[in-house]
Amino acid sequence: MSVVNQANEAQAAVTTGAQAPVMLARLRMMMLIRRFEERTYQEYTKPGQRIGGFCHLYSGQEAVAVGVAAVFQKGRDYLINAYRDHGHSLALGMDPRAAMAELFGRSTGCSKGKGGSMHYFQVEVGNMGGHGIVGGQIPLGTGLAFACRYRKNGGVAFTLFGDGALNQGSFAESMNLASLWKLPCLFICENNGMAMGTQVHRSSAEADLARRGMGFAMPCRNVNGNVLDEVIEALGEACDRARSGQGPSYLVMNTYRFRGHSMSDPLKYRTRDELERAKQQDPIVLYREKLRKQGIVNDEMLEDMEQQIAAIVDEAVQFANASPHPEPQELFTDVLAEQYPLSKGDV
Amino acid sequence: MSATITMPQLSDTMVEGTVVKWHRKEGDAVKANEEIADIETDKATMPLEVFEAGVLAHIAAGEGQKVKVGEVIAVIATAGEDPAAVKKQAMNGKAPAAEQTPSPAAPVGPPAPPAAAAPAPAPAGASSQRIRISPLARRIAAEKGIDPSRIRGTGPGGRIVERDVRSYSGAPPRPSAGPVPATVSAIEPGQTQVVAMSKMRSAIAAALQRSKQLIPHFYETIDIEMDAVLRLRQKLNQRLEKQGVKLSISDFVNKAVATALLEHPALNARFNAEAGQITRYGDVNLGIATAIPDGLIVPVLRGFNRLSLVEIRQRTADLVERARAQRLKREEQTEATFTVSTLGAAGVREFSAIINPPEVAILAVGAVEARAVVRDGQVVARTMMTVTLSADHRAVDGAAAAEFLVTLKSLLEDPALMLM
Amino acid sequence: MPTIQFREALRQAMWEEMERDPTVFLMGEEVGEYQGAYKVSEGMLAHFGPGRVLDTPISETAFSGLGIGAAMAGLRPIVEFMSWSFSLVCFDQLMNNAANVRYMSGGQLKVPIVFRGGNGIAHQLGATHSHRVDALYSRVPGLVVVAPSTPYDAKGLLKTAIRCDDPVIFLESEVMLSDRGEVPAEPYTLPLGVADVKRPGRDVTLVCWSKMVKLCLKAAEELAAAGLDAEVIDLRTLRPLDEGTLAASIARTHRCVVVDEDWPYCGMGAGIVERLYARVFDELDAPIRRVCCEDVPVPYSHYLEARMQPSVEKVVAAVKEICYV
Repeated sequence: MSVVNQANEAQAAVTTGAQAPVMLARLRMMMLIRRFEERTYQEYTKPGQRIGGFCHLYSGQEAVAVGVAAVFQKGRDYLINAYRDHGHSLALGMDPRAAMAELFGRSTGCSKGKGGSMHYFQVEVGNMGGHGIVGGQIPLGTGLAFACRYRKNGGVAFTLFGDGALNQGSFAESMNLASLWKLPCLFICENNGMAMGTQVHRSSAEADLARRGMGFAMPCRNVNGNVLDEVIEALGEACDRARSGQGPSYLVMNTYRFRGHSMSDPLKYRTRDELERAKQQDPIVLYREKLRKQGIVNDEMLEDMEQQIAAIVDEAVQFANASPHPEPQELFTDVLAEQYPLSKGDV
Repeated sequence: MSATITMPQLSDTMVEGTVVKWHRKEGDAVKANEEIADIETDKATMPLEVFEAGVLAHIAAGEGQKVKVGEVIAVIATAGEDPAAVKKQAMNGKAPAAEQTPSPAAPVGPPAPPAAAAPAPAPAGASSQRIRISPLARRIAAEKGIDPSRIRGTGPGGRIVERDVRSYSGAPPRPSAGPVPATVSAIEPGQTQVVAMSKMRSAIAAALQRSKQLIPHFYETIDIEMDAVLRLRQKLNQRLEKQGVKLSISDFVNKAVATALLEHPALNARFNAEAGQITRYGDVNLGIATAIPDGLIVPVLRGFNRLSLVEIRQRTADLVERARAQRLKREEQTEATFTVSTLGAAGVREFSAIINPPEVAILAVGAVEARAVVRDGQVVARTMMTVTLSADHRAVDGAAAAEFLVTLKSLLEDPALMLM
Repeated sequence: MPTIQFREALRQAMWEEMERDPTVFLMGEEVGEYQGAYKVSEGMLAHFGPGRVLDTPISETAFSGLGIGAAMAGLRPIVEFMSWSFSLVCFDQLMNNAANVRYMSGGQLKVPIVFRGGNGIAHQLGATHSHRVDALYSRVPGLVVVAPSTPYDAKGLLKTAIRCDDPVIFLESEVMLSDRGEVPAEPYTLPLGVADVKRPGRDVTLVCWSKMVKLCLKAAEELAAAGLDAEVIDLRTLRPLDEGTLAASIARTHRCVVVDEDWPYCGMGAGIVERLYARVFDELDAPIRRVCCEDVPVPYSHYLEARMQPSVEKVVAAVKEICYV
C-alpha cells in the first residue's frame, strides 16, 4: 500500500473512536517515520556526504506528528513547523522518495532541492513548511489561522515549535495577538526537554512549560507526547474550540528525542541512564504494546510491517541517489512569482 | 544478508576515527540500535550503533586502531546467516556485495561566464607613460584617429576629457557654461554655410586689426638646440613623479623668456603711443596665449620671474584651465608685459605672431623636432626649436631684439644658467 | 484634473483595491480607530469594518509575520509600519520569511503582501526614527522595493503593488505626505520596475527617488541658470532597478550624479553606482559622483540634521565638478 494512502488512513475517523485499521495505519506511520529518520542518520554519516548542512532527526517524537495528522483536515487546515520537520511531512502524506531526495539535494525533492532538511513544504496538502529560525514560524502560523478565520471555513492552523522557541519574543507576541483576535491557531510546543544542548531547566525560569502560556487568556495544557491517543484527544479538544470560533489553545507535548539536536551534536549533555529511561517511553513501543494487548497486532504482522517499511525506505534512498541534481538555470527560478517590469493594467 | 559496518563520518572535517573500545566481541548477539563500540573522532568520542539485529560475526578494527572514514569496522551476520561463514568471507577480503551506489553525480556548476572581451590594445604611438583620459574621451579619440598622448588634458590631474579631444579636433566641447559655438562641420559640395561672428570673435578681430595696422612689426628668427632642456626635463620629472607634477617643455621656454626679459628690459615693456611713453617693468607679467573654442584668450601670470619651474607648471595649468572656463580674475587678464604664443604642439615649425598692444613684443614658439644641423663641420642630428620675435619698431630696436634672442638661446642651450 | 495630497493618493489606492478585491485587508498600529498615525487610512475603518481594517498591538514581529502567513494562505495583506525604522524589530520576518519561502519551497508558495510606511529622515526625529531602509531590502532577492515621489506615482504604484503576487516593500516619506499633485479621477495603475524621466536634459543625469526628486529638480533649475542642462530620473522602483533607462540617459549625457539619503559606505546609492559602472563605463567623461548623507547617526539638532543631508548646493557642486566647470 502506498505511503500516501497509509497516511490518509491514519487520519481517518478521529472523534468517533479509531478503528483497528486506522490504529494500525497510525502505528505503521510512526514506524515509517522512525525508520526514515534512522536511515537518514546512516546516510548522513556516509563519507562523500550526500546529505549536507543541518539535519534534525525526529526519532522519539513520532506520536506528536502522527497525532497532528490524525486530526488534520486536508482542504482547510494548515500546518507550520520548525526545522525538525521530516516526521510531520511524512505523516501528512509526503512521499518518502521526495523527502529523501530533498535531503540529497535533488531536483525531485519536495522543494526541488532548494530547501533541504529544514524546509520541507507540501503546500497542496496544507504543509506550509519547516522553518529554520527558532520561533520565526510562529507568527506565520497566526497568519495562516487568520486566513482560515477570514474565509470563515472552520480551518485551523497547527503551529509547531520546540521548547527553545518559548524564549523567543515571537512566541509571546504571537500568543497575545492570536488570543486578542481569537484566531483558530493551535500553539503546539514539542517539548523534548532540550534546546540544542540546553535543558529546559537551564533556559526557562518557569519549569512547567504549560505555565509559560499563561497571561495570554487561552487554555494551556501539558500532554504526554509519547502516548498517541492522549495527543489525539488533546488536539481534538483544542481543534473543536478553534473551529467553533473560541480562539487559540496552547499545548505542551512532553516527549523526548533519541538523537542529538542535529547531526553535529555529540550529546555530551545527557547521560546514558536518561536515554535508557526515555527509551522505556518510546511512543512506538507504547502504542505497539497497546495494540498488541487489544489483539490488533502480533509479531508476525509487525515483522511484515517492518519489512515493508524497510523496503519503502530503501526505495526512497535508491530513488534519491538516482535522481538528477537541479539544472543550473534552476538557480534563478522560483525567486519571484511575477515578471518585471510588471503592469497590472486592467483597471 | 550481512550488514557491513563502516567508519561513519561524524563531522564535516572527520577523515578517520579510532575504535577506542569494543563493548561486544565476535560471536555476541546484537540488537538493532545497540551501541557496540566507542569511536573517537577529531571532535569527540561517539558511540557506534548497529541498525540491524544479528550476530557480530567479524571485527575488522581492533581497539586503538585508526580507520579511515568509509572503511570496514565490523560485519554483522543477520537472521539466517552463519556467522563463521560471514567472518570467513570478510577476512578473505571479499566484502559482501556493497550497496549499489552510483558515484555521486558531479554537481553541474553554472556555465562559465563568457571570457571577458580582451581590452582593446593601446593605440599605436601612445606614449609609454600612463595617460589619464576618461573612457568617453578615449573612445572619441580612437574614433577620430587622434593619439591621446598629443592631447593636453584639462581635467583633474591633467585628465583628458571630452572637451579636450573635441577642441583638439576643432569641434566645440560640451558642456560649455557659455554660448555654444557653431559647429564646424564639413560643408556639402555646392552648399555654403553662413556663420555669424560671436562677440568674442568680433572683439578679437578688431584688436588684431588695430595691432597690425598701427604697429610697425618687425620679425627676427633664431633656432635653439633643445637637447639639454630635454635631458634636464626628464631628470627633473623623474624626481617630481611622486608629487604628480610633470614639467612641460614650454615651462622651460617660458622661464628662459622671463629670465632673458629681466636682462633685456627694453622688451619687457608697455608702450603708450599717445603719451609717447615706454614703461619698462622690473617684473615679468607673462601673457600665455591660449586657444579656446571660437577664439583666443591671453591669461597673465604676474611675477613670472619669481616662480620656480614647479610653480610655473602648476600655475600655468591652473590659469589655462580657468581661462578656458572663462573664470579668470581681473588681474589675470591685464597688465601683461610680454606674451608667448606656442604652436609647437600642432607641429608648426615656425610662425610670426601679432603683438598685443600696449606690449612691445611677442614671441612665437614653434615645434621641437629632430633636425640635421652642422656642428664642427659635421652634419649631426639635434633637437631644434625655432622661435620668432615680433617687436614694435617704435619702441624696440633690431639690435636689442637680437640680443634678447641670443640670451634666450644661451639660456635654453645651457639651462644651468637659469639657476642664477 | 483633481489636485490631492500624497496621503490621499495612498488612501485612494488602498480603498479602490479593497473595493475591487475582497482578499485585500489593511493592518497596522493605529490604522483603524486613530484614523492612521499620519492620517493615511482616515475613514477606512468606518467604511470597511474591523474585519478588514485591523488595529494591531505594538508587535511588529507578530503582525508582520501574521501578514506573511496570511499571504502564504492566499490573502492580500497591506501591513503598515508606523515608520520603516520599526521594521528593524521584525527584520527576520521580512528577510527570511517574506523573501525566502517561495524559493525554499521550490516555488510552491507566493507571498502577495505589501509592507508600507514612512522611510528616511523626517524632521528632528533622532537617530532611531530616521532610518533609510532602502538598501537593507533592495539587496534581497525575493523582494520588490518601490519608492514613489509624487501623489500620481504613489497611487498608481501602490495599486500595482497590491495586485502584485510578490512581497513589496513600499517606501513612503512622512515629510511628503502633505505634498500635493495632480491625480486623475479615473482609476489607473503604473508599472513596477520602470523609472520615470521627470526632467529631460543633455548635460548630466541625476538619479534619485523619493524625497530627493524634488531636491534634484530644484538643483536642475539652478544648473539651468548656469548653462547646464540636467536630466532628472526618478527611479520609482529600487528593486528591480530599471538599468535600461539609466544607461540610455548616460549614453547621451556622459555624466551622472546619484543623489540619495543613505549613508556613504554600502548605502543604497553605492549599489546603484556599481550597477551603472558595470553598464556605462565607456560612456563616462567623468567618474559617477554620489551625493548622500554624512557618515554619522542622524542628529536631533535641526541645523546638524540639515547639514547631514544632501542639499541643492551639494548637488549643483557635484554636477559642476564632473562637467569640469
